[in-house]
Amino acid sequence: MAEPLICLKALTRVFHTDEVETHAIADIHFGVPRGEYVCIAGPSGSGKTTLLSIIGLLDTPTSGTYLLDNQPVSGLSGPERARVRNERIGFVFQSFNLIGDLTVAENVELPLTYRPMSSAERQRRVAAALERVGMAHRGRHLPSQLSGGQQQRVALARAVAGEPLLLLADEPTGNLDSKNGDAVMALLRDLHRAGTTILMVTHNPEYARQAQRTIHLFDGRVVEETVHERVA
Amino acid sequence: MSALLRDLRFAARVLAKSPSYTFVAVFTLALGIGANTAIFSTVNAVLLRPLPYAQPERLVVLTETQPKFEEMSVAYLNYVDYRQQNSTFVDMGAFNDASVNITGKGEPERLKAQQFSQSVLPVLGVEPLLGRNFLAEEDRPRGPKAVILTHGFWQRRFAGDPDIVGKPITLDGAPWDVVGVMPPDFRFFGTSDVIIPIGLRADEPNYQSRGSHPGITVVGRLKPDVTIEQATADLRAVGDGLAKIHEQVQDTRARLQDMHEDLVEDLREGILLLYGAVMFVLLITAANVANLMLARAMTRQKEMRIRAALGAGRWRLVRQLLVESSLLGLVGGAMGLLVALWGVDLLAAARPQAIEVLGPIEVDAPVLAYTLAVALGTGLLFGLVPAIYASRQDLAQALKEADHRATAVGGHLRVRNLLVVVEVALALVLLVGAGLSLRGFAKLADVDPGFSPGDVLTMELSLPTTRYKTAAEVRRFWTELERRVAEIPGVVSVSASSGLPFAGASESSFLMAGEPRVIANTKMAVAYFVDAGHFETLKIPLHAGRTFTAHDTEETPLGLVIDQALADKFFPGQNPVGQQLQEGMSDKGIAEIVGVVGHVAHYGLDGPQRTQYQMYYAYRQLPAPIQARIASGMTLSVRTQGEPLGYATQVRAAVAAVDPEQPVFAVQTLEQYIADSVAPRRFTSALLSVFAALALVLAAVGLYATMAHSVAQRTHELGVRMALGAQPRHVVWLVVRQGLVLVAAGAALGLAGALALTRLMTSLLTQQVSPADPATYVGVTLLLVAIGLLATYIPAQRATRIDPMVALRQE
Ligand SMILES: Nc1ncnc2c1ncn2[C@@H]1O[C@H](COP(=O)(O)OP(=O)(O)OP(=O)(O)O)[C@@H](O)[C@H]1O
Ligand SMILES: [Mg+2]
Repeated sequence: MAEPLICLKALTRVFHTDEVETHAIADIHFGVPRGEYVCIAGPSGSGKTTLLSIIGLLDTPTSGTYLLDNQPVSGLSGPERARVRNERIGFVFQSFNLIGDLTVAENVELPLTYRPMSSAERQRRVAAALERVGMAHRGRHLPSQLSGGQQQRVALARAVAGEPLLLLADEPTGNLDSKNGDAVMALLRDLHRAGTTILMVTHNPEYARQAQRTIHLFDGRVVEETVHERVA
Repeated sequence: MSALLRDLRFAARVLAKSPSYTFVAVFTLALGIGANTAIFSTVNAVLLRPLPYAQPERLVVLTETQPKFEEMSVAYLNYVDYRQQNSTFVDMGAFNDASVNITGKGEPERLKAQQFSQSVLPVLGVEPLLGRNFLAEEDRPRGPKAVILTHGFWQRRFAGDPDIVGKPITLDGAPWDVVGVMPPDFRFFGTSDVIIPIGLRADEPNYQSRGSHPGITVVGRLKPDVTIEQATADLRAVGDGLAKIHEQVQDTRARLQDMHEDLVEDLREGILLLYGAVMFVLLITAANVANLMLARAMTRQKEMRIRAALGAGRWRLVRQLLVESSLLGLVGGAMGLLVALWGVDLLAAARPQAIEVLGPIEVDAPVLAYTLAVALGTGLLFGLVPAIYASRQDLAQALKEADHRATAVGGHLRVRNLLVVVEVALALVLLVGAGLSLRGFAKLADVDPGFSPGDVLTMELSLPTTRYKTAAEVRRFWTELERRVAEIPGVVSVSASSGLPFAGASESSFLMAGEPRVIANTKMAVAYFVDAGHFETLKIPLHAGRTFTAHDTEETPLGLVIDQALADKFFPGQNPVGQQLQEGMSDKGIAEIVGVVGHVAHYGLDGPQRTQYQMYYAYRQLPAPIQARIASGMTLSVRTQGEPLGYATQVRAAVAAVDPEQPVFAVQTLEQYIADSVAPRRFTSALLSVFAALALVLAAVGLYATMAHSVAQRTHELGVRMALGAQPRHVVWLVVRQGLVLVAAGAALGLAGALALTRLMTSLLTQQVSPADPATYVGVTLLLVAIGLLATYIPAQRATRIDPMVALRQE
C-alpha cells in the first residue's frame, strides 16, 4: 500500500447552535493512500459534507489530527490554508459553482490566477483541462449558456487544471440527470486512472462502486467500509 | 382612493419593518432636500420674490453714463430736467445716502440717513406707517426741517413711542420735526435710520453743478405699457436738448435699468451657482435612495413574484413601489424642512449686505410649496427606476436563477453601478468648484494690496457743520485729535484722511499741463485727501520726491502726490516730481507733483479696477470751503503695536477729550475692509465647500452601500473563489477594483463635467486661478479616490471574512 496522503485520527467536529450541540462528525479515523479513489456514503445529515470540508481545509475540526501528505494542517494560518487549497486540492461541487460573470475559460483559469504562473502557462493548462473534459470548443461561453452537465464538466476542468494531489467531489452528479451523471463519472474514472486521489460523496450505489472503497457514515461515525472489486 | 390608502398603509408598514433602511433613506433625503430648500429660500428672496412696492415691474433705476464711465450717479439739475421734460414716466424720485449725528436724549450717535425727494415714496407706492410723507415746501432749500424715521430706528431709539410724530429731535445740532415713521418691512437700497428731504440741499454748489454727480440715484415709475427702451429713447432726447444748453451735459446721458435687475445683477451668478450645487446634492441624494431601493427590490423579488403570480398587473406593482418612494420622499421632505429652517437661520446670519437689503430669507409659502414639490418629485424620481425594474419579472429567468448559481448579474447591478458613477461624477464637479473657489481665495491672500493693512485701526467721524462752521475749526479738531492719539502708548502713527483703499474714495479729473480743458482730454484718478502721516500709517512706499508735511497749507502752492501707475502712464521715462498737472478739485487749477508713491489696490484685491490712477491731496491745502466740506467727514487711521481693536477705547477717549458730543462710527480694522470686500465671494465659497463636502459624503455612502450590497450578493461567488484558494488580498483587490472602476468612471465623467461647468463660475475665481487649474483638478480627484478607496475598503475587508464553506452549501 502506498504512503497515506490523508491521515485522520480521532477527528470530531461539533457545531454549537442555540445551546444545541451537533456532533457532525465524531471520532473519525481513516487514511487514504495516494492514488486511491474513495467514496463516502451515508444518509442525509450523517456528516459527509462536514468531513469533506475538513479534508478540503474549508473547515477546521473541533479535535483530532489531520495529516495531509504527512504534514499536520492544524497549525496553518488562513492564507496558508488558502494556498494549500489552491495548489493541492481540487473541488467539484454539487451545484457546479461556476462564476456567472466569467467565461468558461476564465472559470477554469481562476484557481491558477491565485498562484504565481505565467499567463502562457495558464492558457496552456486551461486548454488542456478543457480538452480533457471535452469542452474546449465552449471556452468563450458564459456558464449560463451551458447545460447542467456541461457546467459540471467545466467545474471538473477547473478542479484539475491546477493538477491537484487530491480531488474532492461532493455529490457531483446530484444536480444532473443520469446521462450527464454517467459522463461526469466517466471523467472522474479517467482522472483516477491518471493518478489523481479522489474523495467523492455520492448517494448513488452504482457510482459508489466505481470507487475502490466506500466509507459509510452514520451520525458522524464510520459504521462500515466496503472494498469494491475492480471491475475494469 | 381606498386602493391608494391600502397602498399607503402597506408602504408605511414596509418602511417601518426595515427601520435602518428607512432611517438612512430619510436622513439622506433630509440633507438633500434641506440644503436645497435653504438655498431655494435665498433664490426666492433674491431672484423670485417681487420687490415690496406697488407694481414693481414698472419701476426703473436711472443713472447717468458717459463714454468714460459706464455708470455714474445723476447730477441733481439733470434729474430735475428729466423729471419735468419726460413723457414716458408717471413720476421720478431722487435719493442718495448721507449721515447725520443725533444728540439730545441718549448717547450721541451717528445715523445712516437716506435723502429722498418728496416724490420717492409715491413713485414706490409706499406710505408711512405713521404720519405722512414730506410736503413740497419741506423738499426745498431752507424749508422746514422734516424727518421720517425708519421702523427699526423708531423702535431702537424711541422704544416705538406712538406719539413720536410731531415731536422734535436734534440732528447735527438743529431741531427737526418727526413727520412720519416707515412700515417695518420698508427697505429701499441700503438700510438707514432716518429719511430726510434731498431738496434741502438743492442750493449747495455740488447740487447746482451739472458736472457734479453727488451720489444721486433716481427711481422712476414707467407709464403703463412703456418699455425701458422707449423710456431710454425719451430721456436721451431730453439729454440731447440739455446738451445744447449746458456744456457739462455734452456727452452725459441717462441710463435705465429695471429696478429688480439693478439690485440683483451682481448676486445672480453666485446664487444660481449655489442653487446648481444643491441641485447636484439633491440628485446625488435621489441616486443614493434609488440605489437603496434597488438593493431592496432585489431582496423583494420574491414578494414581487408572488404578487405577480397572484395576478397583480405591472402597473399595480409599479404603483405600490411609487407610493412607497413618495411616502419616503414626503417624510424626508418633512425632515428636510427642519434642516432648511436651521440652514436658513445660518444663511440669514451669514448673508452679505447686498442680499440683506432684498428682504428676509425665510421659509414662506412659496418655499413650502417648493419643498413639497421637490419632496414628491424626488420621491418619484428615485422610485421610478427601481419600480420599473422590480416589476419587470422575467419568470423564466427567475426559474433559471433558482436552478443555477451561474446566471450573470442582472440589469439591477448595472443600474446601481450607473447610479454610483453619476453620484461620484456630480460630487467631483462640486469638489472641483469648491476647490477652485477656495484656491482662488488662498491666492487672494497672496495679493499685495500695495499697503500694509495689518495693525491699523480705523474709525469714521462726521463733524456737524452746525458746530464746525469754518475750515479752521475743522482743521483744529483733527490736529488736536491726531496729537492726542499719537500720545497713546503703542500708537505708531496716526492720520486723518478722506478716502481709504477698500473703504471708498471719490474720483477726480485731471489734465496734463497745457492741455485744453475739454472732456476728451479729461482723465480720472482716485483722489485721496490726506494728512501728513497717511503714507506712514498705511505703509505706502515712497518712490520719488516727498510726501506731505505740516508745512503744506492753504498758503503754499498746491502739491500732489501721484501713484506709480499715473507716473508710468503719463510721465514715461521722466521724473514726474516737479512737473505740473491741471487738477479739478481746487480752484487753484494747477498743482505741482511733489512725490510718487506705490500704487494701491483700491477696488478689490483682484478684478477690474474702475479707475487706474491715484492722486493724493494734502486736504489742508484746499480752499477753505472745499476743505471744510471734505474734512468734516473723515476717517482716522491709527497704526498700532499689536491688536488694533485693543486701542479703540483709548482712541474714543481721545475723541471725547477733544469734543465730548462727537460720535465715532465704523470702528474697525483696515483688514476688516479687505475682508468685507471679499465677503460675498467668501459666502459663496464657504457654502459651495459645505455642499461639496456633503456631496462627497453622500457619494461615499452611496458607493459604500453599493459595494456592501454587492459583497453580500456575491457572498457565494466570493466563497467559491476562497474555496478555490483565493487569498484575502485577492478578495480585497477584487472588491476594491470593482469600486475603483466605478470611482474612475465617475471621476472621468465628473472631470469632463467640471471642465465644462466651472467656466460658469468666473465671479468666484480670481485672475490667478483658471477654471482649468490643474492643481485643483488633481487635488480633488485624489481626495475623491482616497474617500472612494475607504468606502470600498470596508466592505472589501468584510468580504475576506466570508466562510468558504458557503461553496459547499446549497441555499
Ligand atoms: N454550519 C453548521 N452549523 C450547525 N450545524 C451544522 C452546520 N453544518 C452542518 N451541521 C450539522 O451537521 C450535521 C452534518 O451535516 P452535513 O452537511 O455534513 O451532512 P451531510 O451528510 O452532508 O448531509 P446531506 O446528505 O444532506 O448533504 C447535520 O446535522 C447538520 O445539521
Ligand atoms: Mg452534504
